[in-house]
Amino acid sequence: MKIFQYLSSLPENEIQDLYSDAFTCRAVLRSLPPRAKQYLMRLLVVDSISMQSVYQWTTQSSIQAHKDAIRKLLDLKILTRVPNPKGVVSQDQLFLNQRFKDNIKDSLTDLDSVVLKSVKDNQSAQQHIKPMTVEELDKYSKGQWEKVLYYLSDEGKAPPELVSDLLLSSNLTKKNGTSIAITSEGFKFMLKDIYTQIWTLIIVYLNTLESRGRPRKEALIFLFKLSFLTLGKSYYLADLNPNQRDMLFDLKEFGLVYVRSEKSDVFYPTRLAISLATGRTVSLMNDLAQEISTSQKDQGYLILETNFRIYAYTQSSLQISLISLFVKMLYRLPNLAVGILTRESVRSALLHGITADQIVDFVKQNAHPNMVISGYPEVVFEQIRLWESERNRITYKKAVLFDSFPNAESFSKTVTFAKDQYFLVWFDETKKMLVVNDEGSEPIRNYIKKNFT
Amino acid sequence: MSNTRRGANNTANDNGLKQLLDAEDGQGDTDHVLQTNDQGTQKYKWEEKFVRSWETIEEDEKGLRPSLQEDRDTRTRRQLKDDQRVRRGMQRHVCLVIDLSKSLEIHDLKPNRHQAVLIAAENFIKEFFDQNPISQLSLIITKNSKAEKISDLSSNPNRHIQLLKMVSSTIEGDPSIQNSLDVSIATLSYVPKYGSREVIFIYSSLTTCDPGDLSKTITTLKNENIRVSFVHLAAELYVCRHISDATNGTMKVIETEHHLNEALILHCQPPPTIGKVEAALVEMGFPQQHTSQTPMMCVCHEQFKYVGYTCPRCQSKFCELPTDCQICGLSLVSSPHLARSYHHLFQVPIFREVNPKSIQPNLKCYGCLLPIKPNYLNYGCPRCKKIFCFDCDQVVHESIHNCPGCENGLEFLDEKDNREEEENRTTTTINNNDSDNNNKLVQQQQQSIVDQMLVDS
Amino acid sequence: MDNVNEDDDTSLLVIIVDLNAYSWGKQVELAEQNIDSTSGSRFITLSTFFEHLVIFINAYLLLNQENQIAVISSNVGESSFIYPSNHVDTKDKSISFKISQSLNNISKHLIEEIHLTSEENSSSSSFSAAMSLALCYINRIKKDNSTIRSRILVFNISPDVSTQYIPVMNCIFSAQKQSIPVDSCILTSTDSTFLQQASHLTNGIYLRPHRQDHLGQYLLSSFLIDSYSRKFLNVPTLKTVDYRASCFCHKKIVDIGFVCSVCLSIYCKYSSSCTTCGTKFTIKFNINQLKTSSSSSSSQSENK
Repeated sequence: MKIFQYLSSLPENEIQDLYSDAFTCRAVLRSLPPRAKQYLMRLLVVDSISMQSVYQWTTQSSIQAHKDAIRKLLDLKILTRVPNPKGVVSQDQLFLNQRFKDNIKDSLTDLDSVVLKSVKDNQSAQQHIKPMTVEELDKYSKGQWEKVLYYLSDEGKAPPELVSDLLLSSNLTKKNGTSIAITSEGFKFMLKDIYTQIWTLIIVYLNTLESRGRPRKEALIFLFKLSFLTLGKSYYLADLNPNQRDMLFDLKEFGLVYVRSEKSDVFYPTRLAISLATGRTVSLMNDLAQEISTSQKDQGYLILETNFRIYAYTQSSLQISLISLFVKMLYRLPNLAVGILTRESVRSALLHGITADQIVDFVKQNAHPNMVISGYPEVVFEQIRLWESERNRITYKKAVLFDSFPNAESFSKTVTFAKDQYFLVWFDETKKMLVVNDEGSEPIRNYIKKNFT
Repeated sequence: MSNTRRGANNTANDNGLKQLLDAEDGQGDTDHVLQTNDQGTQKYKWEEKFVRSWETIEEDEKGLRPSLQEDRDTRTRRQLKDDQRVRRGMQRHVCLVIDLSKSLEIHDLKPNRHQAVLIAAENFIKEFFDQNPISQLSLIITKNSKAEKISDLSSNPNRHIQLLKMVSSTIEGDPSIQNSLDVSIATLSYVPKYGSREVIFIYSSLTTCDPGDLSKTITTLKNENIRVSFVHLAAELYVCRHISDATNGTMKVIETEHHLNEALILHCQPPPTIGKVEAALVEMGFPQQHTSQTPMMCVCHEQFKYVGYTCPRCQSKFCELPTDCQICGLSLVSSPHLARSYHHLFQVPIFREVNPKSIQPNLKCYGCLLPIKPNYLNYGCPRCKKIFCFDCDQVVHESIHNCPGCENGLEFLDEKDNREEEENRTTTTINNNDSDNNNKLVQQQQQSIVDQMLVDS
Repeated sequence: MDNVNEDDDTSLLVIIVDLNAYSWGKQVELAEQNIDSTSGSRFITLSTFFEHLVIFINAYLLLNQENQIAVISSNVGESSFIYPSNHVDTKDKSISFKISQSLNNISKHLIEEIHLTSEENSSSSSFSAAMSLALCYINRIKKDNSTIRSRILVFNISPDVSTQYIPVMNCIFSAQKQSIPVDSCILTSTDSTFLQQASHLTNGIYLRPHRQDHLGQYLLSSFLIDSYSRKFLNVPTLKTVDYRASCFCHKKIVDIGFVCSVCLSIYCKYSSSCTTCGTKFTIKFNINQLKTSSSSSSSQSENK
C-alpha cells in the first residue's frame, strides 16, 4: 500500500484539512508523476479548464498515461470535475482545489520559508558536540532499518515494543505461542524495496495512532514537513510540539531521524525521512537502498548446489538470518555462511506459511552471478516443491453424490453413462451410490430424468 | 546536495587507495578473491590485468602519492594537435582501407583483432562525419591478395557502416597494399584538386602480397598528392613507414584496443595541407527543407516522400544533407554543416599545466566552479589566464571547442582591467559587499599567479 | 508510480540570462511606448522580468527535490555564474532566495553601469561564453550523477553578434552531441537566428512571448517541462528554420553560393581571392569542368 492509495482512501474532509497545510501541498505535488506535476503547474493560472483542452496537452501515443494522471489527481481530490450542464463529456470543467492552489501559489512567491530553523554550525560548536556527518547519518539509518528487518526474520531477538506491535498488527509476524514468527506476508515484505517497506510500516503506524486517540492528520503533516529539512543539518527539538516530539522518538526506531539521547535537544533527519515523500527511491536514496538491497536484489550472493548445500557470500547477519528461515546453517566464516537445505528446515519454513515458490524465487533473485551462469539446480527446486506438496496431500474438488437409485438396472445404466462421458469419480454397487464431478451433475440429472421417471 | 555527492566520491577514491595499499601489505578486506572494478563488475584477480601499482606512485617532499603521469599522457596523446593556425584541407576525401586478412584471427586485442577493428572502424566513421560533415569517405577492404571497394565516396555514415557490416564477416588470405592503393588512386583521382586526398589503412598483417613494383605506386601517390597513413595493429613495417613518410602521412602502431580508437580518432582532424595546394571557390547549394502537399519522388531512394530538400539549381529532391546532387552535381549542404567544420580552423589554444605549488587555496575552476585540487592536474589557458580543472580542460578541447575565459571578451580584456580597477574603488565606497570585492581580488591574484606559473613551467 | 526508475524527472537546469544593460535600457523605452496602446504592455522591464524569473525558479525547484539549478549571466564582455556563486554563503536560506538576492544586486550594478556604456561596445552580450560555461558546468554535474537530464534555458534580449557565430555554433554542436536541449525565450520583438538554430538542432523549445506581462505563465506552461516529460506532452515547436547561409561579403541570403575551399567562407559571387583568409585562387575555377568531373565520377560509379 502506497502513500497515494492511502491519501485517496482518506475521507473528503480530512484530505481537505491536509491541504490547508502548505508543506503537505508541496510534498504531494513533488510525489506526483511528472506528467501530473506539469498539468498542475498549467492549471495554477487558470480558473477552470475543459477536458477537451486538457486532452490537447498530451501526445496521442501516451493517451493512457494521460488518463491515469488525471484520474490520480481526481482521486487525490486535487482536481474536481464538474459535469457540463448540457451533458457533453468533453466539455466537463476541471477545477483545481482552491486550498491546494493557493498554497502552491504562495510557495511560488515565497522566497524564504523554512520548516524549522536549523542549528547554526557555530552554535553547535559552542556546545562542544561534534555534529553528525552525512555518512554517519546514513550508517545510522541503515543500521536502524536493518534492525527492524532483523526483528522480522529472527525469532530469538525481542524488538522494542513499538516495532513488535507494528509488525504484529501489520500481519508481518504472528504470535506463535510465546515466540513471534515471520509470516508469509512478512517474507514477501522482505523482498520489496525499502521505500515500500517503510511506507507499509508507517501507514500501519498512522492507523495505530488513530486508535490511540491521536490525530493522524498532524502526524502526516509532520512527516511531510520532515522531507523539507536539509540532510546533515540539525534542528531544535524545542521547536516541535509535544505530539510531534513523541512521534519523532517513534520514527527514530525506523531510522528516519537521529536523536543522540533522550536528553539531547537537537535532532537530525536522515536520508530516509527526506526522500520519504518524494515517493520513490531516487538517487538521494539510491546509494542506501542499493546497499540494503544489493544483497537482496541486484547483486546475488547465494550459491545453491545440487547436493543441497547453500553458500551465502555475505557478512550481513540480516541476510544470514533470512536464509536460516529455510536453511540449516552449518558454518559461519567471515565472508561466507554455509548451510544445507534439509526436509526439516524447509518444512519449518513451510509451517510459517512461506511457500515453496517464495523460497525458489528468493534463491533465484539472490543467485550469485556464477550460479546464474552455470544454471540453477532444478533438482533442488523440485525437491522443495515436493516437500511442500507433502503437506498438501489432499486436493478438494467439487463433486455431486447421487444415491437411492430405485433399482439396480437404473443404477448400472447411469454408471455406464457417467463412465462414457468421463464424469465418473467413484461408485459403489452395494450401496448404489455414485459420485460424479461437477460438470457431470447436470447431464446425469437430465439422463436420470429422461430415462427413469 | 552536491556537497554530499562529492564527499562520497572522495571516500571512494580514498578507499581505492586504501585497498591498493592493503593489498600490498597482504591484509586487504575480507574479499581477497573477488574484487570489484570501476564498472561494478566482479572479476577474479587472476582475470584482471596485471597492474604495476608501484610504478604509479610518485615521491615528493610530502611522501608517496599516486602519480598523475598516466592521466597526463592520455591528455597529451589526445590533444596532440598543431597549435598554430595552419591551412587545412577542409573538404577531405578519404579512402579507409581495412585489412580483413587471416591475421585478424589473433587474440591479442580483446575480444579479438577482428572485432576490435570493426568496432574501431565504426566509431571512426561516425566521429569522422560528425567532425567533417562536408567530407567524403570510401571504404575499401583487402583480403585474398585483392582489394575491393565496398562503398563509393559519399557522406552518409550509416550506409558505410551498413556495408561494412555486410562484408566484414569473413576473413581470409593475405592483404595487398599495392592493390588497395591502386583502388584508392582510381577512386581519388576524380576528386577536384582543391579537396584533400587521403588514404587511411587499418593494417593487421605483417606481410603484403603485391603484384608489381610498389615504388611506382608511391610515385603516383606523390604526383596525385595523396597522403597515406597507417594504423598498424602489431608492429612497424618498413614498407608502411616508407609509404607514409614519402606521402607525408603518419604511421602508428597501437598498444591496446583503446589506443586503436584514439589513433583513429586523431585522423578526424583535417591534416594541414602539403605544399602548394590549389584553392578554389566551390559552388555549393543551400537547399531549404520543404514539406509538400503531394508526395514527390526523391532522387536518393526513388520513393515518394512529403518532406525533403530540393536542389536550388535543378529542383530535384533529396532526403538528407549533405549530399551531391545526382542530377546536376551541385554540392548540397546546410550552413550548420559548414559551421561544424570551423572549429578545426579556429582552435582553442592548448592549456598548459599549472604548477601545483603555486595554486592558492579557495581557488575554483573557471568552468565548473569546483574547488581546484592542488594535488591534481590543473591547466591554465595561455590566452585568458584562467585556470581549469582536468575535466573541464578535456571538455573544452574535445567537445565545446571554445575557451569560456577567452570568449568572455578577449578584445575587451585590457579595457576591462582598467574599468575593473575603477569599479573597485567605487564599490568600496558605495557598496559594502565584501565578498564581491574579495572575489575580484582573488581573480586578479589568480591572473598574476597564472602568469608566473606559465613562465615557470 | 509503477515504473519507479523510468518515471524520474530529476533534472539540471542551467539558465542563461542576458543582462545586457543597453538592451534592457532600450526595452524600458519600448515598454513605456507600448503601454499607451490598447494591447497592454507587450514588453517588460528588468525588475518585472526578475520577478517572473524567480517564480519560475521556485516552481522548478518545487517540482522535484533533487532538481538542480545554475544561473549564468551573459553580460557585456563578461559572463559569470550568478548561482552557484563564487563567494561562500553561510546564511541558511533557500536557493531561490539567494538567487533573487544576487539578481537584485546585479540590477543595482547594471543601473550604475548603464551610464558608463555606450552603444558601440555594449550592444552585444558574450553569449558564447555563457554557453561554454553552462556546458562545462553540466559536464561536471553529469560526472557526479550520470543519469541526470540536463537542459539549458536562454533568456535573450540583445541582438545576435556575427563575430560570435563560430563559438556559438560550436556550443550548439556540443549540446546537440550530448543531447542537451537548448530552450530559448526571446524577449525582444525580433527573432534570434542563433537561438532558432540552437533550439531546432537540439530539439529545444523556441518561444517569443507576445504578451510579456504574462511571462510567468509562459514560463510555467512551456519552459517548466523537463526533457523527460517532453516525450509525451505537446510542446511548442518551430516549424521551419532557415538554414540557408548568408554570404560573408554582402550578408545576403543565398541559395547557391561559392565557398572558399580553405576557410569555408561563403560568397555570393565569384571573386579572385578570399577576403577572410587572403588566399588567392590560383586558377579561374570553371564550373563546367567541375560538372564534367563530378558527373563523370558519378557515372563511373554507376557503371560499377
